[in-house]
Amino acid sequence: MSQVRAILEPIASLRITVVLFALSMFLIFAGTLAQVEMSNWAVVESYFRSVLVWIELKYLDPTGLLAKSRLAIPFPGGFVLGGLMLINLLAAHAIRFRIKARNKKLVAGVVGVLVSIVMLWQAHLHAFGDFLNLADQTTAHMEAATLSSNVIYTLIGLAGLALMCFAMWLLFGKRDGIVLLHAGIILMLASEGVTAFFALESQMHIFEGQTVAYSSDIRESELAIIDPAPKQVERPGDDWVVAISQSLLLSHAGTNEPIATPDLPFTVTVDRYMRHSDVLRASERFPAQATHGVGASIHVVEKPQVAGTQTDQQANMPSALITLWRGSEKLGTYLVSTWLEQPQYVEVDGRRYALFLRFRRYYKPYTIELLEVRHDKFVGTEMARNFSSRVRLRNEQQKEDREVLIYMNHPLRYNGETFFQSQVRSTRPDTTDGTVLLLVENPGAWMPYYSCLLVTLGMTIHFGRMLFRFAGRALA
Amino acid sequence: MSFAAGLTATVVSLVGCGDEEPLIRTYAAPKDPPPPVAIQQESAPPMMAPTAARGAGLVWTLPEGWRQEPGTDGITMFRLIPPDAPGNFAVTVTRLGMDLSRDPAMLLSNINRWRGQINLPPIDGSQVAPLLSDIDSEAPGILIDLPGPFDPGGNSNEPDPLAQRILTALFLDGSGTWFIKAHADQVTVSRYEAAYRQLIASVRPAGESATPSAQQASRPTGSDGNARTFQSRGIAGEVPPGWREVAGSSMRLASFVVGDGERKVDIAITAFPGDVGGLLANINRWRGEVGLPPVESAEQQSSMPLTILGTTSTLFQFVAPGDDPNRPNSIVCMVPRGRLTYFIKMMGPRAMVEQQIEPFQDFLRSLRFTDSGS
Repeated sequence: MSQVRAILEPIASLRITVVLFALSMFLIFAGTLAQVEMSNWAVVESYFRSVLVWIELKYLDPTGLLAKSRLAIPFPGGFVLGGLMLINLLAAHAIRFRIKARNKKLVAGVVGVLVSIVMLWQAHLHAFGDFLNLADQTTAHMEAATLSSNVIYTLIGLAGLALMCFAMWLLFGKRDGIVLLHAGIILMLASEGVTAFFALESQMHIFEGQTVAYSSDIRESELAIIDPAPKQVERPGDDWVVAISQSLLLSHAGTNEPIATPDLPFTVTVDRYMRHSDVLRASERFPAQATHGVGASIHVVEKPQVAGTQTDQQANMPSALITLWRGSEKLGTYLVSTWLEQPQYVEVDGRRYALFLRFRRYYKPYTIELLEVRHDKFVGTEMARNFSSRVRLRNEQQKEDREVLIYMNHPLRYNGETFFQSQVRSTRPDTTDGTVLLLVENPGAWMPYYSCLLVTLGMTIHFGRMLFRFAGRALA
Repeated sequence: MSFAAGLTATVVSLVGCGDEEPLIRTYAAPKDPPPPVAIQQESAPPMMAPTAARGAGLVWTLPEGWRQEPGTDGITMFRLIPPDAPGNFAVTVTRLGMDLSRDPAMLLSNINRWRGQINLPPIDGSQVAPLLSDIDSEAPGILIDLPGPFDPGGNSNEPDPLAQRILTALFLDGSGTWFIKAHADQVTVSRYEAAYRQLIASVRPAGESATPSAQQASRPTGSDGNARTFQSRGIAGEVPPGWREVAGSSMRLASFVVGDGERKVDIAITAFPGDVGGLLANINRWRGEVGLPPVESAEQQSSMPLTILGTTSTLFQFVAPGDDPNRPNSIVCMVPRGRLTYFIKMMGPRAMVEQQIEPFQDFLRSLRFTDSGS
């Protein structure tokens, strides 16, 4: 046991904690400055959700002398710093917060903690989740969430909290508050890990009268090759889609290495992939780079990626020049671009395929129909007062078919996703007839709330006990 | 100890279970929803009435409900957009500075380029004549109709939604050729074919007068100079008393003057794609116009933020050096909007510009966009 302690003691050093905090602050500072050129999400991915980041010195140079330099220093990324903090914290726990309970007291304490977690989880599912606006608003859930059930489960949750405090006292004695506090911090660090790996953000663009069954991630593209009349699909009329990911397109760009799949009678080589681009009508000065399709009259130019400091915050608009091959026979070079809203078609072996570079799609088990969108303004001004979307949510599998009003600060929660009113769109002047809903799916959304709850509870117990001790001495 | 170990195991398992996404996904998916169809208004408001639109040398009348926007790619002069245009559909207007009727090879080259766009093989010169038909309009023009290779005229009476179609009207204006082109899937093109034919039949040389209703709609301002409102190419506003709306160059969305001859103030609204060479280059160009030396950075030029057209804009004033009241002065308001930057500029003799500052501010506050800007 002393050997384990000898290993853990240096890892649990408070000096390491301070150094990690300082490094984290510098990483946040550098990541903020990097948004002069990079988009918010690119910074999040490369600085905070990475193992190693190369920080370009030009971002840190106020004189501007290094403005055109590519000099960069390696620096530990967010995963490394966060991971080390977690290890440091866990090691400190292992050394400094030993379980004092023995025998029956130990069993009672462990059982108490487990039971309290179950009670809190039940309270979360049936009451707390509604208060925190985290619960799915399915018809079944809303019918079950009566006032009496809310009250009962709230009481169960409060009893669970009390039980947890008692069980922690049994296990850790007077250090129960500080253990709870640190457990809250560990939960917070873990919540960022869950968000980084599992959270998903996408958009749903719908015009009035349209029904859609997918959302799009505007940070990532995919090359969809669609067979609009496939031989075998479960539901007649469906498309058969082969979606090639952005990472595969990027890794094959300029290599002449074909992308092949048994689902297609042709292969694809990626001549060039542009993360952000603009398109111009082809001219003598700007000739078309593609030989077939609509791209034969378009010139595409690569542009620097959208920066986080840009006020309009447009999305990157990727384009790619791809060549299709049937064996060694060249079928043509096509320009595929997110600027092109219509797919292009190629006929191979008597079958016609649509080519479409689009933002990556996620198909849903439900559909959303936009019934009405409103963009209310303060009278006499162009200032927005309210955006709202009245939609019809249908899910055949769950027998769900109802209208929902989504408006500012009142999102819909369904299927583990949260639908926020994000933007409105128009097809005609002086009208608003389209909506953009932002879908956020984060299985760790509940974690920061309970992390804060544990930290608050821990601090209250710890400092409350100190206050009582001080007051007792003063009175004596 | 058990608590810490349990949490460690949980975290390690969480980090370890991030499954790699497949690089190629295959799945069946429902077809995309049809493009949006806006609900027709029962009666068009006055600003939606037939509007005369003016290009350099040609005039046309927009079909009811259509709107006109400047092109954004530097080549398209105008985009004519139907009221319920699906997706990005628009009839485009471009002009080539050469007379195609004198250069059959160039005409053939253009036709083959369009054929390539809809997957049709090229043709030779002998096959051109059957594709051409005359347009019954005041300006001499021909129409070229190119249905795509999946023409449904064969075995099925149902239109093939995947086939592309291009309708192009060519007009000559003496020194160049105008192209008014509709290109989309043939269901879309067919849907707007009647309105498109009405549009191209209305094309006439710029010297010809528009129909009375069109004239009225294009100039809603009064003839006495006390104009009230204007609307032009996606922007509208209140015209201050004393300002006269005049026809500007094709680059201008709207033009106004105060005064006459050399003693006049010129007010212009223009829009350009992108940042038009950068802020500093523009500031130095405007400074040069009034005789001010260039500055090294944009921060050296005093400016004022203000909110107009629902966005944060920047106002610059350029005052000529010296006391001469006839030296030119200018005030420029720069409004970014999507992929375009709008410029509202007032320029004229210093004394006159100073008199017009207040009306100019009222004018700026009154401006509004009449299109979606998407």
